[in-house]
Parts: sequence; C-alpha cells; structure tokens
Amino acid sequence: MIKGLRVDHRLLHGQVAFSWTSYLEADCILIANDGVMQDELKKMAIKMAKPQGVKLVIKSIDDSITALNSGVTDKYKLFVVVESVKDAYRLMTETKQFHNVVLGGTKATENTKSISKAVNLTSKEIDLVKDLIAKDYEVEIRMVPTEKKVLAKDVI
Amino acid sequence: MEEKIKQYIINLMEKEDFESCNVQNISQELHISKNQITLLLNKMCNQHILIKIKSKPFLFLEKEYLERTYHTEIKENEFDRYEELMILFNHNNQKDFEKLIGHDESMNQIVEKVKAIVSYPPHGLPTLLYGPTGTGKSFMAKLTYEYCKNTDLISKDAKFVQVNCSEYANNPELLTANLFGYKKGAFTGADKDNLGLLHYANGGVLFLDEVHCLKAECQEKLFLYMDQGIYHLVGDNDKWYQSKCRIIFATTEEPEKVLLKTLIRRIPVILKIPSLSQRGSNEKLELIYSLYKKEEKRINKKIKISSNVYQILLNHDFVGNIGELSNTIQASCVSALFNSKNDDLEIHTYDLPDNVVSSIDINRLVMKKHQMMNLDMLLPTSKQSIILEVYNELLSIKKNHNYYAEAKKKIDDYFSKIIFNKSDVARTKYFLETVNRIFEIVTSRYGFHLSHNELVAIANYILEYNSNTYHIINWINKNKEDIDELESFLQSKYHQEYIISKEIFEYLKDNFNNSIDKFVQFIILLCLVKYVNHENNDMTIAIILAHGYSTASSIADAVNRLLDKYIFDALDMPLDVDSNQITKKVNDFISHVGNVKKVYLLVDMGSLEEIYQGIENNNIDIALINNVNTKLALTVGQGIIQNQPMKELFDNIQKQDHYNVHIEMNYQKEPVILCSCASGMGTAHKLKNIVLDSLPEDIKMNVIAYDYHTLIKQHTSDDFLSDYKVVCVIGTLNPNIDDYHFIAIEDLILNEGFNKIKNYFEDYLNENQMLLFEKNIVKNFSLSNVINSLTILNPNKLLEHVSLGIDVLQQLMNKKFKNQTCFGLYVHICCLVERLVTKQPITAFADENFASEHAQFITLLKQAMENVENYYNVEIPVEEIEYIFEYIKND
Repeated sequence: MIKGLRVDHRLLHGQVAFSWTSYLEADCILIANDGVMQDELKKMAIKMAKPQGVKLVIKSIDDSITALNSGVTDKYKLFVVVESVKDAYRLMTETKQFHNVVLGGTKATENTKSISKAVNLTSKEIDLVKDLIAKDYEVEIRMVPTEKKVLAKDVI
Repeated sequence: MEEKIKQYIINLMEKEDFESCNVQNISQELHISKNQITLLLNKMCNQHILIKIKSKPFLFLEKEYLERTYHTEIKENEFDRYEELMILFNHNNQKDFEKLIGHDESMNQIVEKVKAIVSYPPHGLPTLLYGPTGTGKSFMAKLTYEYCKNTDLISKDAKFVQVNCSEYANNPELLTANLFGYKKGAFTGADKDNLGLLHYANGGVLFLDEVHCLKAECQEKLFLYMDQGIYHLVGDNDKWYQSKCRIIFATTEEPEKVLLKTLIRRIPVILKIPSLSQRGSNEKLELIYSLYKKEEKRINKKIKISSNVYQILLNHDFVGNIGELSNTIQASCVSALFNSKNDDLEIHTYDLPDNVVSSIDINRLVMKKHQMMNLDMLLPTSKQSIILEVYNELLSIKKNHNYYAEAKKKIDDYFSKIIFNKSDVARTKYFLETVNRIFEIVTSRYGFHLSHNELVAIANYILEYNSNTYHIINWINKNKEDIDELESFLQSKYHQEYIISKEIFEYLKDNFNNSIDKFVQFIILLCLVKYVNHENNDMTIAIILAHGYSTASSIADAVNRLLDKYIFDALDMPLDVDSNQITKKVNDFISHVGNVKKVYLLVDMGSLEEIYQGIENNNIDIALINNVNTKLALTVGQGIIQNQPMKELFDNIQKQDHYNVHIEMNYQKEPVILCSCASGMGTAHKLKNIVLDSLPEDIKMNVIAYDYHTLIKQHTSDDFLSDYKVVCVIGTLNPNIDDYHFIAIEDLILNEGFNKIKNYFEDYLNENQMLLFEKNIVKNFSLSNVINSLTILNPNKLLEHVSLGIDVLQQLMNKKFKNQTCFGLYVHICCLVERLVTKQPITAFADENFASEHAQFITLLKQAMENVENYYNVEIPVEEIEYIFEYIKND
C-alpha cells in the first residue's frame, strides 16, 4: 500500500525520514533514483539517514516502476521518495498506484521559478505539474507534515 | 656649608688634584661625617653644581670650573669613567685634522703631506685624493679647508666650494658654465651674468669630487687656470678674470687611467687614502665608537652593543669602507630603536644587516651567551705599548737550543708588566672569560691546563694587542722574512706545541679579531712548551695517512683525545693524489719534525711498499700498516705510550684483526590505504579525497584510488603495490585478498564499523589522532553531501561552524553522539542555516507541547549554536529546534 510520494532533491535526510515516515506510519522507504545507484557515497548517506525499524530500498526509476506494477511492494506500507518532478511524473503516470504527490523541496537554479519557500521549478516542470493536475492528481506543497497543506493548483 | 664644599673642591681642582675630590678626603678635611657629606655631594650633583665620576672611589668635580677650563658645556651630571669626561673635552677641543680618526696613525703621513701642500707658498699646490668609495675623501678635503683657516693660510671668510663632477656627467657644458661662470646670453637660459664657482672659491678651497667624471675639454680649460690663475667666462673670450684658490681633486678610479696625462702632470702630489681594512682594527674600533657615539647623541639614549655585534663589526670587511660602516651602524640603531623598550638602546646581532652578520661563524664562538658591552669598551686602553719591544727581542734571540729559555724569560717579563694592568675590569673580564674557554676547549684535549695567572696574562696581552694593530701591521710587513724564519724554527723544534697553538690561534681569530698576526701564536706556543710532555717525542712519530678532506685528521684527533695525549699527526690526501706525492709529503713531514728515530705510518689503502721505499732517511725504523681505523690507531697509540717494541705491537695487531659482521633488514615500506570501488574510479577518487583530508596532518600515510578489477586480478604481482605496505582497502565490495584488510564504506561512519578500523590503524595513529581521524571522516563525508544541497553559503565554512556547535552541544549534554547522528545533524543544520538565511523556516510544530516539555534542550541548543546564529545573523526558531531534537532523540 502506498502511503505517500514525495519530491525532495536531497532524497532521504533525517527530517524526511523521521517526520514523514512516522507521520505516514510507513514501514518501508523506496528511493527511486537513477543517480544514487551509481554513487556509493550518496547511497551510504541515504542509508545513514534511515530511521531504525524501517526497511530501505533503493532502485532506479525503471526498476521502481517494474516493482510497483508487479505487486511485490503491496505488502509494505510504502513511502516513495524521488529527486525531481520528472521522476515523480514518470512513477505516477507509468503505474496506477499514486493519487497524490507532495512537493517537499527542490533546489533553486538559474532556470527555476520559486513556487513556495522550498520549491523551485523550471517551466518544463511546471508544465508537468499542470499536466498532473489536469489528470486529476492532487499535487501539494509541504515541507514538514505539520505544515499547512498548500495545493499546487492554487500557486501555479 | 655647600658653598664651603664647592670652594674646597675648586681649590683642589686648581691644584689639578682631582683624585682628592672624593668623599673620604672631603669629609676629613672639612670635618663633616661621611654620611652627611655623601648626601650633600649627591644633592649638589642633582642641582648640577657638581658632576659625579663613578670611578673607585667616586669623584665629585665642580662643573662650572670644568666648563670654564675646557671651554666645553657639560650636560650630564654623571660619568662612568674619568676618561669619558676627557673624551668629551678632547672632542670639543679638536681642531681640523685632530678630528680625523687615525690622524696620528694610519692617516698621519697623508695629513702631514696635505699640510705641506696647502702651505706651499704662495697659494699652495693642487692635490689629488685617490681612494675607494667611502674612505673619507670629502671629509679630508673639508678638514684641509678648516686647517687652512685655522693656520691663517686663508682668511676666515674664505669659502669651501665643493663640486661633485659626477652630477654633471650628462651635461659637461653646464659644469663648465657653473665652474667658470658665464655671460648673459652665452647659451639658452643664461639670462644674467654668473660669476661661477671659481669666483666664489677665490681665496678659499675648491674641492672637485669624482673628478674622473670631468670631461677632457673641461680638464683642459682648468689647466690655464691652474697655471696662471686666470680664466674666461663662458661666452666672453675677451676679458680675463682672476681667482686664487687651493684645488683639491678626488677620485675613486685609478688616476692614470681616467685623467688626462696633462692634468696629472700638474698635480705634484697624489695621496692614496687607505681603505678601512688597511687602517687596522684599532682605528676601526675608534670609528665604530665615534659613529655609535654620534647616534647616541642623536637619539639621546645610552647605547650598548652585544659582544657578537662588536666582533662582527670588527671582522666584517666593509667594501664600502667608512661609508658602509656608518650606514650599517645607523641601520642597526634604527632596527634596535624599533625594538627598544627602555632607556638603553641594545644593539644585537639581529639588528645588523644580513650580509654583515654572515661574516662570522656562530658555531666557532666559544661564549654561547653573548654579553652586552658599554661603548667605551671599544676604545683602546693605551696607545703606548711595549709589545713591539717584546716582538723585536723574540726575533733577535739566536735560534738555538737556548731559544726557549731566553724567549720565555722575555715573555714572562712582559706578562708580569701587563698582568697588573687593571685599568678596565669589565673589558678584561670579557676577554679573560673567552680566552679561558678557548684554552679549556683545546688544552683539555691534550691533558693539561694553563695556570690562571698565565691565562690572565694572555688575555691582557690580547687586549693590548687590539689597540696596537696599525703599528704592528707595519712592523710585521717590514720584518716578514725574519718572522717566517722564526715560524719554521718553532714549527720544527716544537712540533706539537705548534699544532696546539695553531688550534688556539684559530679560535682566537674567530672570537676576537681575524686579523690577529702570527706572533700571538708564537707567544702562546712558547707558553705551552712547559706543559707538553717531550719524553719520547723526539724519537717516535706516528702519522695517519688517509684519502679524503679530513679523514686522517678526524681519526688522529679522536684518538689523541681518547689517549689524552698528542700521539698522532695526520696527513689528509686529496682523492686524486699519486703515490709519489704521498711519499713526498711524508718525507717533508719527517724532515720538518727532525731527529726522528721511529715512524709509525697508518695508511688507509694503497701500496705499502711504494711508501716505505720512498722514505728517504735510512736511519729510521718504519712500521707500516694499512686499513687504518679508529680502533687500530688507538691500539697503536697505546703501544707507543707503553714503549712496546714495533714488531711485537704489529704482530699482536695482525693476530687480532678480524671483522664482525651483522646484517639486519630494516627497510620500512610506506603504509598505504587503497580506495577501491566496484562501481568505478569516480567513487574511489571521492572516497580517497575524504580519507586523505581526514588523516591528521602529521600522519605520513599514502592514500591511493585504485581500480577494483586490477586489484582483484593482479594484487600479488603488482610492482606498484610491492613498494607499499597496504594498511587496508576501503571500498564498496570486498576484493577478498588475504593479506589486505577490508573496510566497507559504511564501516567508516557507523560506530560499530569504526572500532574495527581502529585495530588496523593502531600502528600508525595514536588514540588522539584516531579520534581526530574519525571526527574528520564524519565531517568530510558530511561536507560531500552538504556541497550538493547548498546554493548560496560556503559549505566548508558553514560546516566548520556547525561542527564546532555540535561539539559544544555534546559537551553541554555530556554525551557523545553516534557518528550517524553527527552526520545527520551536520547536514541538517547546514541546510537549516541556509533555509534561515534565505528566509524559509519551518513554522509549524509537530508537537504543540515541545517548547514547554523540552525547555532545557532548547536552552542548551541555543547556547551551542550561539556562534552559528551570530555569524550568519539568524535565529533558529523553536519549531526548527524540535526537528533537531528528533535527531538526538533517535541517537
């Protein structure tokens, strides 16, 4: 059962691990990312941020989609974390498991526009978000669970 | 009462009885108690009625009387020595050439000649001063002018006109115009008549400095003037002008090369001004003294110089002569003034310019602790000396078997005269201590010591010597042949004493004055004779002969010391010397020593036959042995001392000779950490950098990124790795190589893993270094993560601040966090600070009661993060502290 999908450019760090995992009551975290698979140091950083008593799985986007579709993940209360809106978009559109996504934090670059305090999106990503909203997915912006929920359609 | 005392002192002074102006005497004569008179006298000193001379006993002199008598204003009311007062008077009374240091010594002849030239009727003769830069040619010219005035050769209002020809080197016409004058309109810019320097110098002295810069045309123009005293202004060839002046030329260049023959012909006397080094150390000391005195007046502080500075200034060869010496002294005062903290100005070695300091070899100085000296220690004690009489007598004594007895008597006579010369206790003390040290160093090696009185005498003698250099240099140059003859006589007759005295002599040169002459050595040699044992020396000599710069001398020296006796002489041979030269050296040596019956020759290598066949005198027993070394020489030396027969001694040595051999392989391979990742070299390099940056600075350990597959394939046959001792492999996958420990990346950070690492590193890192390494690993690893997450702040700096904050927090909580927790906190707080700086804080509580329930933690964290908050000008809100608390709660 999917408990949540989150976009966070830092993937898993303590704050996400502690607050969101317990808020969502998840027992397994899936990091769906292509880059981390190549970088042992990054992988290790993620492993270190993992809360105790929770399973951690790191997979590439393709493998994640396959796993989600195959049903092997059904037995877990799953919290999925991706790095970018693009990755979230793929997971949401290529599996039928997700209804909503939380935009937690994306890095500001030259080409991004600030959507909220911690969320910065390129015009391409804004298009993807708009597309998701159009397809009736719920896209919300929230850094920590206790914050007020802000819907992306209200700010884009 | 005070008036009475003053009058009494004046009375004494009028009788020139200065010595009676002391407390004891005045108290007796005036029937006042000593205590009271002392009080009164000191009071009068403070009122500047009297001056005090701190000799023994203290003298009190009436100030106004002195000022009247010596026409000199006295500013101080205290003097350390009577001589100081006299110097003050003399200095002020000095007229023209008397101001010239050395006017009665090295400069004497020059001064006399100058006086004769300028006095030559009716208007003196032109003269040329020729000498290197900085020797005082301009000063000399100035003094000449003063002399002319003082002796009424020229009138009191006559002028001294100085022209530096080098200033006009690029514009000779201008010089001509300035010198001879010009008519209005003679050239562009000549807008009025100008009478020229010759006109101004009329009746006075014209000094043409750097005359070699004077162009030939201008020199020629001067001829007519020099011959007839008439000249034309430039631009007016009709009218003759007249002027009479004394011309002094000066040049640093050789006159014959730079001046027209016709000009030189017109200068009847060319005076060569000696360089500083030619003037002898006595005058140099006087110059140093007067230059420092000048600075003392200028900065109004009492100057003291260290004994090392004294020596350096005395021994350094100032190429720029007095000019350079003066600059050096001024520079030293400027440097010292900059560092000075009290009223005295102390000049130390480090105040001197570097090139000057390098002129002494600090390692040769025997007094490790230098001493501060008053300036007046620089002044010579006396100018009259009896030393030259002694030298003359030593030269004239017949060189036969009675020489020693007669010479020693002369020396003893001389010593007994100077040993009671206690005029200058402070200076004698310095010389005595140094002389003592030198003799101790050298003579203790040969097992004897000179008596204290003799050392005092030698110290006094050397002290005396310092003040006589100029005369002695002259005398020695005159008697060079006789002195050489005496030297070779002493060398052959007293061979050992010669060697020992030479050693002492070298030390003296290094520690006092490197221009000391050989006579000092001879006198020391003669003092040594009675201490050196001559029993069997006249028949047996032992020579060590070895190739190399000082191999033989080193062995001989060591063995002589071990034996406490002078047994071995050494002949050092250059590496390319051939056997003919060697035998020649040995022959020369034997004939030099003379009267030899037995020779032991210890050589390092080469053909023994060639050497002994080459030895000339058939009447000598020769024992030769090769493969000389310290132990062998020691055995031979002991045999010689015990008078063992040659054959027996060498037979024994031959029997004993064998080598002990022991080999130990101790070469240590350099330790290396290999970073190797199955996922490729990219991660391996990153890992390597983290490990390398984390090792404590003083640890010499190589860290290398290494390809994982290469490692598996050829670990045993890899040449590259065979040079190293592999401490461990750090990486993602264990290559499973038996000899290599493996550390997985996780283990680096996770506490449990790190304990394993400690075992592998225990040979290389101590406990503290290990702790530092562990902490750095966490920090650097965090840094690699932080870098990617931050956009505006400098990650290095931020992490530095944060990690210090976390250290404080751990101390405050009295708890050590796990590495994972530290890592999490580092990364989190770094990101947090950036969020705060960019104004994106979290504003919602997870638990409404956090603030009240964990007030203590909030206080501690605030305290720990105080610096971070201040530095980045942010405030961590309580809502954020709640999230930080989550990390620590889960620790």
